[in-house]
Order: sequence, then C-alpha cells, then structure tokens
Amino acid sequence: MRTELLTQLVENDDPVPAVWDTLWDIWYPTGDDVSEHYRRETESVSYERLLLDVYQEFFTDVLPHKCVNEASLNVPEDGTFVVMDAMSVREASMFVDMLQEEGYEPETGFSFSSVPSETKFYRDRVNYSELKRNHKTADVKSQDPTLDGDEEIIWCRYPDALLENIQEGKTKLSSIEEMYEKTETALRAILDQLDTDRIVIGSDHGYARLDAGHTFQISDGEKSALQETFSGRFESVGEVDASHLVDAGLVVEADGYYMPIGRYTWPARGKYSTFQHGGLSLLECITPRIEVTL
Amino acid sequence: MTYPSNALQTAFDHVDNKLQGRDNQGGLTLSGPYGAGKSHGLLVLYHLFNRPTVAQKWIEEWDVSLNLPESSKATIHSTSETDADLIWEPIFEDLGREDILDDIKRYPTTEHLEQLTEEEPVAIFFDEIETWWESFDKSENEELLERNEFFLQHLFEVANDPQEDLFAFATLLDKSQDIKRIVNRTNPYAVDMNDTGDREQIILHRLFETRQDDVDEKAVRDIVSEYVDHYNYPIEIDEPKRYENRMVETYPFHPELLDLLDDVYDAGRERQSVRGVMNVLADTVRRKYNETDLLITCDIEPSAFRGINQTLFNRYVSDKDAVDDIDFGEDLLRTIFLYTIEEREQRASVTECLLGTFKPQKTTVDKLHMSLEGLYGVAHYLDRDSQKENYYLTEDPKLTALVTREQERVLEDDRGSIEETLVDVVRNDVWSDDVYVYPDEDVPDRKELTTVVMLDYLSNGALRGKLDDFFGGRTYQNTVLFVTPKKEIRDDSEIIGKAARVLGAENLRGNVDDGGELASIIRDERRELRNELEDRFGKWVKWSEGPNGDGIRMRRIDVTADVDDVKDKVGRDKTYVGEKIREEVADAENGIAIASMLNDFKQFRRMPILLSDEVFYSAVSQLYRDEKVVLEGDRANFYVPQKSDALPDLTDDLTIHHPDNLDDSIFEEEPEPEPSSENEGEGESSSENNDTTALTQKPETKAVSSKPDSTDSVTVSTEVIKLEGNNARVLRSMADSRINGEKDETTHIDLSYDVDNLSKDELVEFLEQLPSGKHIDATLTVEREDEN
Repeated sequence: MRTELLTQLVENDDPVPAVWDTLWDIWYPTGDDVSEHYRRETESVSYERLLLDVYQEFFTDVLPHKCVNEASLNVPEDGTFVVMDAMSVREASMFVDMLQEEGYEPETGFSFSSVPSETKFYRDRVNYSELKRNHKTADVKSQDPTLDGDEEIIWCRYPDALLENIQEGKTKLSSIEEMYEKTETALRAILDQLDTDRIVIGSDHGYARLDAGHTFQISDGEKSALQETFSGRFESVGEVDASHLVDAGLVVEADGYYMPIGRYTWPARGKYSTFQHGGLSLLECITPRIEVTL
Repeated sequence: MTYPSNALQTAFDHVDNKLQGRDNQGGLTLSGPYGAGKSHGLLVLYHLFNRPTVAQKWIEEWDVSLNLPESSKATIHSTSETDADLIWEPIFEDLGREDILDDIKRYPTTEHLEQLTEEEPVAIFFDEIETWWESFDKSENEELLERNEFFLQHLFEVANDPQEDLFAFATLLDKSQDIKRIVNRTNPYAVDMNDTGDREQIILHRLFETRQDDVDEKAVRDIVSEYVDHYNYPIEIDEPKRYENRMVETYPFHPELLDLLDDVYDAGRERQSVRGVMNVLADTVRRKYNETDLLITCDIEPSAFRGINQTLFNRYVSDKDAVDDIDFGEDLLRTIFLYTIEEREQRASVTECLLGTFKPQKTTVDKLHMSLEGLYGVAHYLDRDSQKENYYLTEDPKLTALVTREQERVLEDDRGSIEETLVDVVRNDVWSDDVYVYPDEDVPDRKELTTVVMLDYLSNGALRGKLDDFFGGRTYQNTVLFVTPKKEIRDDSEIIGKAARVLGAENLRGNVDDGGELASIIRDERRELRNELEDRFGKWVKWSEGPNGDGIRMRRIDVTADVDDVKDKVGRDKTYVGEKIREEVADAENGIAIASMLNDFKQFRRMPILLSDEVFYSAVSQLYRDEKVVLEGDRANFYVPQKSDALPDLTDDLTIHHPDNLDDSIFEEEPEPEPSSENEGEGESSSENNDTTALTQKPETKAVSSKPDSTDSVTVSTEVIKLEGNNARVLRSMADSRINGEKDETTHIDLSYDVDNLSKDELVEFLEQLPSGKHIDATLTVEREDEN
C-alpha cells in the first residue's frame, strides 16, 4: 500500500493527491472510539517522516507552493462554507462518519492552509474581509450557536479555541477527546440550523501534535539551533536568519517566513502547548474539505 | 347424687364394723391433696349420721353394705367457718348438750364425752382441723392449745372405745404434725381419698346425669371398636380387646385422656386434683359434645394448663401457626403439649400422639403418622428423641431440628439459593471477601488486579472454552487472576448439603427467638463448609505467550485459598516485566507511551501480570538506568541515559523507545570544546555499542610469550563480553561489532535462555537446534504441576 502510494508520488504530476490519499487512508475509516482514533497519530508521524526522507522536496517546494497559491475559500452556490478553525484530517474523518450516520452523503477532498499555517495569513490569502462584505457571515464561538439559517459563511472557532486549552506545559486541562466532542456538538448545531442546499466544511489550517512520540528525532545541537532562532512556530525572514537551518533541512522558507518542516520541534519551557500550528507539516497545511448536499 | 366411690365405701365399711360391734375404732381420717374429695367425703359421712333414714335409702340404691342406726346425731365443724378458742364448745352446743359444758372445767374428760352417746350414736366431724390448730400462736396460746389437745385426745380415745357409739372424723392435709401426733395416738383408720381406684367412675358420675348402668353399651362399643379397629402400626396396644373394654368404660372420654389428666394433676400434689380435671373435662364436653363421638386428648383446650408452664404454653401457641400447613398439625401439637406438661414423663410416645389425635372419620393412622413426622423441624419448639419414639415441646427453640428441616426443604425446592450461599461462603469466608465468583457474579472490566474464583471443576478444554467466553470483548484481560477448584464443588453432594445447611440456618434468622444460639449454629455451619471448601482450592490459571508467538497458552498452577498466595505465584519479578517492555518497544518504531504500555500490560494476557503499577514503573526505571530504553517527553524532549540525562518523572505522556529504533542524532552530545580523539569514533557508535561498553567487564591482562624462548611477548587479555537479545540475528550483529575477527578467539560460551513455557516436544526441538561443543552444560528450570 505504502509502496504504491510512494510510486504515485513519483509518477503523478501533482503528488499532493497521493499524499492526501495516504493521510485519508490512515485516518479513515475511523477508530472504534475517539481515543483509539487519535492513536493513529503515530502512523501519521511515520508516514510524514518517510515522506521527508524520500521526498524532501515535497516539504521544501511542493507544499509551500500549494499553500502560497492554492489556499482558498469558495462559497458554494446556494450554499454555505463552514470554516472549522484548525480542523485537521483527524477530525474530518470523524465528521464524515457523523454525517453518514445522519443520512448525508458527504464527499471529501482537500485544500491548503496558507503559510505560515495561521488563521490571519489564511484570511489575508483568501481576502476574507472582502468575502465578509459579499456574503452573509456568522461567527460561532460556542457549542450552542444561534443562526438565521441563510448564512453563506460561518466561521466556527472550534476546534482551535479548544486545542489551546488541552494543555499548558505539563498541566493537563482537558483532553483531546473532550475537544472533539465539543467541536462535533458545535458542528451539529450549525448543520441543524442551516437552511441551505449545499454545505462545504473546510478549515483555515490544521495542527501538529508535538507531544511525546509524535515528533521527529533531532540532535541536541539541532534542538539548540532551532531554539535560538525560533520563539514561535514561524519567524519572519526579516527578523531572523535561519538559512543555516534551511541548509540543515530542518526549516523551510516560504512567503517570507521560516517554518520548521514536518514534526521538527524543540523543547520549550513554561506554558507551552503541544497542539500547534504555524509550521509546515502535512496535517497543518493540507486541510480537509467535506461537501454535503442537503 | 353422690357416687359412692371406692374410698367412700372403705369409710362406710369402717363405720359399719363399729356400728355392728365388729370393730371398736370409730376414729377415721380422710386424707388426700386438694380436690381429692376429702370435704365431699366428710359431708357424705356426716349425712349418714345426720339423716340416717334418708342415707340408708341412698346406700341401698348403690347396693352398699351398711346398716345405719334408726337415729343418730352428727355435728360438723369447718374451721374455716368456726373460729372457736375451745373447739368442744360449738360441738356440745350443736349437739344440744350445753348442760355438759357447765360441768367442764379446763377440758372435756372422757366421761363428759361418754355422756354424749348415752341415747344414740353420735358422730363428730372436723373439716380442715389442721388450719384451725395452726392458727393458734404457740407461745401466746399455749394453754388453749393444751386444753384443745386434751379434748381431741379424749375424743379419739372414746371413739376407739367399743362400748361407746362415738365417731370422730377429720380431714387431714398433712399440714400439722401436732394434729397428726394427737390423732394417731389411737390409730384411727385413714382413708386416702385420692387413691380411690375408681376416679373415672367418679368423674363420669359427676359430669353426666345418666348413670353408667343406663348407658347403651352396644352403641358405645360400636363407636369404640371403630377406633380400636384402626389402631394399627405404629400404634402399639398390648391387648386390643381389653383396651376396647376400657374405652367402653371411660366413654365418652378416651382412657388415654383421663390417664393423662390424672397424671398431670397427680404430679402436682398442691394443685386441685379431680376438681381441676373435672373443670377441664366439663369444658371439653360443653364445647365438643355435638362435634365428636369420642373425646380424645386433642379435644382438650390447652389454655387450661397455661398455669402449669406458661412458657411452654406460649411455645405451643407460637408453633401453631408454623404447623398450619400440616394436616392435623395443630391437633398433634396440642396432644404433644399436654403430654409435655405432665411432669413425670414430659413427652408423648408415638402411640400417645396418635391415640390422642386420631379420629377414624377424619384421617388414617398412616397419614397422621406422616403428619407427626412432618412436624419435626417445622414446629420451632418441637423435639424428639434420637429413636424418633417420643416427641415433646421445649422452651428453647429446637434449632438443630429446624436447621435440618430447612436444609431438607431448600435441597428440594431452592437449589438456586443454595448456590448463592455457596458463592457467599466461597467469597466471604474462604477468600475473605477479596474475590469475585464466576460466573455467578459479574466481574468488572477494570484496570485493578482482580482475583476471580470458579466453582466449576472443568477439564482444560472446557475451562478454556468457558474462559474464552469470559474474555471475549473484555478490555482488561490481564488483570484477572482466575483460580479454579482442584476438586468438584458445585456438583459435590456433600458440599451442596453443607451449603444447604448454612442456608437453612440463615433462613431461620428472625423466625426464632433463640437467645443467640442460632448465630452460633450459623457460625459453626459456615466454618465447616469453609474448611471443606478451602481444601478444594485451587489452581491459578496462568497465561503466557505461545512459544512461537502464536496465541496464548494456559497452564494451571497450584495455589492455596489465599489471594496473597496467588499473588506470590504470579511473582513480583520486574526483570521479566522489563524484558517484555523492551521487547514491545523494539517492535514499535515510534516508541510506546508509558500510559499505553501500562495499559497493554493490563489488557493482554500474553504480557506478564503486574501485581501493581509500581512494578511496571520500577521496571521502566531499571531499564533506563541500564540504558536499555530512552524516554521522550513533549516537544522532542528526549531523556537519554547514555548521555547521563537524569531519569524524568514517569508521567503517562512519556514515550518509551528502544535505543535501536532511534536516530543516531538522539545520542549525539552537544559538541565538546575539547579536540576530538580516537574515542570520538566510539562516541558516534550505535546505542548497542554504548550498551556493550556499559556491560563490558574490565579486561584482565596477562603477558603471554608468543614463543617459549623468546623475550618478545604478546599481551593477551581475557575479556567477558555480554551479548544480549531475543534472537540469533541480534547476537550476531553484536558479535560482529565487538569481536575482532583477527585478534580475538572465543574460548567459552555461556548461553542462558529465558523461554516461554516450552512443552517437552518444544524443548527437544530447541535442544536439537543447539550446535555441538566440547562439553555442554544445560540447567533447566521446570515448573511442574502436581497431580491432585
């Protein structure tokens, strides 16, 4: 299976669909329960490591190019675009299950975040302020929102607002399972209230898990170098010079920003989160799209 | 009309002898307990002398031989009515001889008394004279007593004079030694009214108007013979015909009833005798005369006897409800009660029980006998002797009988509850409430270690099937310690019998007022069952990975009925746990989170059982210290023992890595400021090499001449190199890196294998694969199951 997909990477003009298919195969069908589902992370990490080892250009060229040029927010005709902030393929696969159980026939695909994989940059890239002027929009910040039903763009702050609350440093505040349950509740509430023919569920970016067992191995020297250069998950080229890290294959430069590749990370002190975005990893940058016809 | 009882007729004979001159004794005492008829007899005798003509007619009607004088005088004095200081005064006055009184000085002399009978026979009667005598204060009334004593002495002396027709009669209760002494000086006749021998006739005469002679004997015999005809086994009657005759004589009362009442009252001399019997019988006749053709013991109303033993009566009342479902149970119980209160025997034989209860128109003797046997254990206060020949009520509940009865009942009707009791005793008594009993109880699917006991004695195949069912769909399979019995339990009749007995005893709780005895019985019965059950446990079911990694194998290891012993057998060896952790992480490219690994230990039976989480954490710590694992925290924070990183807190999120699975960069130190040397190469070597370094003992060095005569020498050192892994490939790889192909020669190999429970065949196969050597030493560790 993996060999076949790797072969496609070479043979296809566009390698992204093959990468997406592999990711989707890892995450769908979903696990027996939410906890078991999220344990697929390990497999995801392995694949990402393999991809980096055999096809480094995917991270240094292909993916940055896609993020710079193909990040989009297309409101469907007679429909609504629902942005689930920070939704990754992990959650999307479970949403598909949920929608099927509700009797819908969802279709899945993918899109891209901008670089760095942050909401601000995505909104700039898709010209969100213009979209807001042209479409009726709503901002959802709770699990129990009130909608008119004819909104064309809905920006749901979940799961991003919840991800930040799972952990502060070594202190567990919540759980990833709880995060998912609340996000699904919010999505159900949105779907229940929308009175449109077509809904596209997408996200502005995904997120990377940087907890134990889910990162790329790295030497102390490399860790120190990254630590010295980065204060967050990305830095502007105007602020720092990370060319030596780019040369070392740890960092990529795109659109005026330096970002760590894949699951490269470094120890942080204090109230750090292990659920992060802003970097250039598969699950941060390749975002799921689910289309539903009501 | 008075019935001339045998006792009375004896008195009549004495009177007649005196009157006819055949005897000189005219003194006569009537004795007997209360109610024996003394006062009544005294009155009859009084009437003989007071109204001799009328009395003579009555005497003749009863065909008694007594010729009374045509005229006579009599005076009777009941001390309850006459409170005279000088007893002779009312006597002389009553007899119209106040004239003599004038002549008396201190007391009447014999002459004074002889004057009384000058014209006709005179009879003087004292009722309860002892009571009157004892009412005097002996110190204050000494003179009065003395004067009365002289009178009485003279009276009985004159009564004993053949020349004088003077009679003196007194009733005696044996209460005063003085009166006895005074009266007995002349040896008057004594008639015991209680020993009349014809008490039944008296009773019948006094209860029924119809004289015995007028009763239709044939009709009576017809009724009685119907009874006697049914008196078969187990009723024992020596001479049925004679018995039948007696029944005819005592009709309408069963002779057993009269005998019983006689004994009941006779035993208590202080009680009203025939008078009490009379009341009881009269009441019985009044209640039952139109319901039955023969009055038997069970027709008696027991409340009449509550005064004899109130407690026993209460027990009888209490048991009436208990025997409600048994045919004639209450009648039998009543009969037994009545026999029990009879103080001499205090029990009813089977024959007495049946005779006292059986009525031919209602049941058969056989059925009644079955009912009698059915009472035992149902009536709480009923007991019987060991031969089952006699029944009686007890004041304390007959608990062992009740327990036996309840045991029999539950064995017949309540097998389910017996098993529940068995489970309860196994869990709480045998295993100190530290286990679950399967499949009787739900065993929670949980992370904590749980001991589960089975009561089913099964073959390996059947057990495996049953446990496969148990483990199916269960998350935490490796936290359950199953213990099976080594003998039958559930299907052993002895065990079930004992459990039924425990249940029987416990069922009686709240139903009997036992003063704590029941609790003691329950304790004893439970202890006995526990002891029996303890011997039958057990075998701990041990799981292990198949030799070729193909599924899990089941073995049974001997344990005693003690959770701690089971845990001892499981063992607390963290070495094996550590090996398993390393084995597992070796196969996990991205490592395994501590929480996940710990969870695996609890979920999968192929893993060693953890007696506590501490064993696991301790094993991880040891592996880390031995540089056999590397730990990873959040955000690429690796803890590498090879770099002397301190062991972090073993939080759930830490991931355990096998060093072989980690990139070399993980082991790279921060560049040292010192210039690199040859050692740097070693520093870059793999973790295996690091392991080897750590595990390499300091070489012993000795100088060996390459040639005997040469002064040049080659230094040869001996080094012990430890190779470690779980297959030959790993060892070969280690040997490749650590053994110099040109310089090193291996002289000795110690092989030590930890294997997973090899069968004999597997062991043979294993040994056959080993290469030959100059000499091979093999020491096997074998777990052997004992036969039970």
